Amino acid sequence: MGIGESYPGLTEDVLEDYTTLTYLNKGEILYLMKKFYSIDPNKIQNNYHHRFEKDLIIKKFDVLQNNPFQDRIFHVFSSKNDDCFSFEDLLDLCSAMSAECPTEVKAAWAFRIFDLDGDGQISTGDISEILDRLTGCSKDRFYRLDAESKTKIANVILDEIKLDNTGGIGLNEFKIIMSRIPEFHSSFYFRRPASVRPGRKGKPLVRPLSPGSTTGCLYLTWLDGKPRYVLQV
Amino acid sequence: MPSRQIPYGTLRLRRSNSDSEALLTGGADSDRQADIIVREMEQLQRLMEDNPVSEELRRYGPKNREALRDLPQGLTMKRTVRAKLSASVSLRSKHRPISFYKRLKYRISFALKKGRDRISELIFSIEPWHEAIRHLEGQFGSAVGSYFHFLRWLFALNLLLAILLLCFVVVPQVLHDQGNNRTGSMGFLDFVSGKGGFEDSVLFYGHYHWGDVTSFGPLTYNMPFSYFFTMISLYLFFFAILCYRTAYSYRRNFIEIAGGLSNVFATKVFCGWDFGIVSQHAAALNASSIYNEFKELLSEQNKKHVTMSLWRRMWQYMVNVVVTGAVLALVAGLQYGLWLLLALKTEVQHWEIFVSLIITFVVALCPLLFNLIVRVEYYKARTALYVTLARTGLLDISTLTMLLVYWTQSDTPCWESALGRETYRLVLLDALVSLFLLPLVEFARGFIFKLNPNSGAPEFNIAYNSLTLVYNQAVLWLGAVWCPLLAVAVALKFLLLFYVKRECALRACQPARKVWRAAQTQTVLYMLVTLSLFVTLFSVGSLFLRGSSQTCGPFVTYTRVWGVVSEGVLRLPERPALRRVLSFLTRPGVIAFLFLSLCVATYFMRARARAQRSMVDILRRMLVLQAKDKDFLLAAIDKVSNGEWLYNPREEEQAADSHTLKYLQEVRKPSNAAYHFDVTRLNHSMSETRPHRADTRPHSYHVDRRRRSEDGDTDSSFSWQGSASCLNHTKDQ
Repeated sequence: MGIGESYPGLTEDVLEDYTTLTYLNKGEILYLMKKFYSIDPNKIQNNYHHRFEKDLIIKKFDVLQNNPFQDRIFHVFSSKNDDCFSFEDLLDLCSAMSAECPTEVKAAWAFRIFDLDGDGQISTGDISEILDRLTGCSKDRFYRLDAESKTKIANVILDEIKLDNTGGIGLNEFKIIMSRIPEFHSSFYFRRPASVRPGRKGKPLVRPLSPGSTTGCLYLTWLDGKPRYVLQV
Repeated sequence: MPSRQIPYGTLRLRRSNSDSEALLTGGADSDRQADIIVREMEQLQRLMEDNPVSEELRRYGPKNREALRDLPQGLTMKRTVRAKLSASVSLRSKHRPISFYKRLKYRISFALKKGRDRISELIFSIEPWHEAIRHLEGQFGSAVGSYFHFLRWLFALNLLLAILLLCFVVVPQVLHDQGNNRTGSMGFLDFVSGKGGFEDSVLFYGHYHWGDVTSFGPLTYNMPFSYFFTMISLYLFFFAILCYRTAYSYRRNFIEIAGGLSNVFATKVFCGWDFGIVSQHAAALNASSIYNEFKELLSEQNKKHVTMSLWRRMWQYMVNVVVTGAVLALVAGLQYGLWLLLALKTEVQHWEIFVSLIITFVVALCPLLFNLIVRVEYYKARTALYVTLARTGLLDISTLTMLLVYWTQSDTPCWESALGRETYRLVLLDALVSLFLLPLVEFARGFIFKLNPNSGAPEFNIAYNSLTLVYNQAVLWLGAVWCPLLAVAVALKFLLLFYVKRECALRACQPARKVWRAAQTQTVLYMLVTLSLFVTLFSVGSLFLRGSSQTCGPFVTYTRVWGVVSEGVLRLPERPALRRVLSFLTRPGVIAFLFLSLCVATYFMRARARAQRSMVDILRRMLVLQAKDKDFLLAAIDKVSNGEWLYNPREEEQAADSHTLKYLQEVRKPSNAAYHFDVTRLNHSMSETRPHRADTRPHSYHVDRRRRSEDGDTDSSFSWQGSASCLNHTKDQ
């Protein structure tokens, strides 16, 4: 059909495959492909599995810009662990963040994101750094919890979850905890992008994006785990 | 092992720890990871039934799809796993003929699943306002997004209702009207009050024809039947949809988290960040609000937890009761006052408009009043919100019920049209307030904030706006029977409301400082809408049974509206046998019997729910113990791999003489009785005892095991350890 042919490599059966293996449907996948393709059409035409650099992806998908866990997202979802996204990595990310994804699967992905040092446990150190990142996006440096409060919070959390005494939260405990918190599903979620309706003459119809927040100004954001000044285009 | 000490080892966790294994071996090669995952999945027996249909199921069927989709791995890993799965199954498959019935069943379920997917694709592709809501969520967080989501859902519901009513009820009437002329004045005040020229128009119940409509050719369309059946079926259909939606929401947000965390720290840390935020300003606000909440929680934690004395608790309880009583009295007083106003016979022209205006203002201002009142009471924040929602819901429903009762009791000739006019006026005047006045107030507040940034930032008041939606929907449920075009009016109103509220939010509001619990509040709102529909169904149903006015409307030929069914469709006067059966079925005895069986069924469900809740408790505790098991076993494996097996096989002791001792030693023997603790094996023991280890290798453990027992739980004190072997021993000796 008309739409599949405009993106090389995205044939009908590949699309069918994607719909079976992820929580997205065809419209969403096509829209993601459209955005992804528009980053650099030549590279995709040469190699369907081309991996784009982090900065290019962030520029295109604005929902990742101000996220304090941005580096973790890129580390976890990137299939080759090189902080670059191919199209399939992007699909994994959007599928995990969609509304149809069940809480357990989200919890499994979230565990990997929150496990900042990658040791398979969310330990006290992990929790302290998570707290730093959560409060660090604000404009003033003033909003920082001191070390004592952070340790206290970490201890309270680990006390509540007394399942095993390895000094950290394992994957199974994390899944159990998250299934008991209703807000998790709605916080670990970004709304899927708009769909592509098959238009007349095989041309896709896309609803225009509403204007973003600010363009052309300098603002502070998290990049590579450190605060950086970035010009918004 | 810790978990075997309790006799609960009946259930085994089917889900194995494939995820943790795959995670832990994260550095390992991905092929090995895929092998591990495939091995785990093969243990799911259903997938591995060997027959050709389940192969097809496995390839495309729902179970396979879900099992693969739920894997928290990347797409490449999923593909590898899938390839390995089908490879391994094709090795194991045996061809066995299966019955035609089973094959048919599988085909049907597969086709149904495909059909459902197509329908959801279709609905998704026509979803309106998607980008707009996403933009709002990015700016304000997902709570505001949930309000707009609710608005959109109600809009879709009303649009469907409007379209169906137009097709089945209004259009035939318009066709019938083509010949007649329109009379009466059509001034502006008439438009607002629905009187004058509008009174006898397609707008209201009174105008609808009571017989057949013939417009084109020989086809006739029976108006009373269509009016009655359209209304009843639409109401029941929407009631079913709402019940389903409310139950789903309730199950998701209340039941599944029962027994949840009392401690909110974990919630704040792991769910505090809204991943949907786009703008930098909203991110900064989210960060500062998280900081403030942590500060608050820490200070609460630090405060000495003083258990309140009995007097203080009683005092709080008394205050709550008194204030609730006062609120109920206020609501009752309001209703009485409104009744008196309605009944007042004045000479003022268009007195009804004035009364409707008063009602609209009362409904618009009372939520704010309740908000202030609830601060006096001693409730937790979330309970206070639910209490306010409940009180406002009570006010709305009681106002509408009062109006219904007033107009049915009054002696106006065509009370149905009068009721329709009342609801029409309410919707119109509320549109005036919420589409014009409120946005003006919001913009004024935003303007003041811009001039003076120190005053409180205006936030988008989600509770108040949601209550407006619920009120409008309740008015619609009441009025749709008497004024079919009201559905169109309300749909249009919601459409405008979306854009107006969006502009208000974007231009005049700031993102909220406190985090709003959207999920559970949504359930309460759905419940309120369902409740209002239920009350309407009940009251309209009882009205239909009572009697219809003889002067107007489509049911003039029947003494009671219910006569449409009994006389029109079933033709009961001509079928005495059927009439006797039906009158038997509606006798009080039969109804009481049905009611009683309903009570019994409810009690049974409740007992079952309680049993399942305690089962959930047991399972939760089992989870804890299984985790302890895992610890224990991992530690033991560690030790064994270090060569630190601490047990030596014990030499055979002399068989005891007395039967009791024999029984104790042979039969009721724990499985590790063949071993004794060997200090020499401890790693940190004297080094000269090391060489002795060679002759007491762990492999002798296996020899002993084979001889001992074939039972399952051998280390539980309840097991019957080899009673047959005990007899063998005595025979030998």
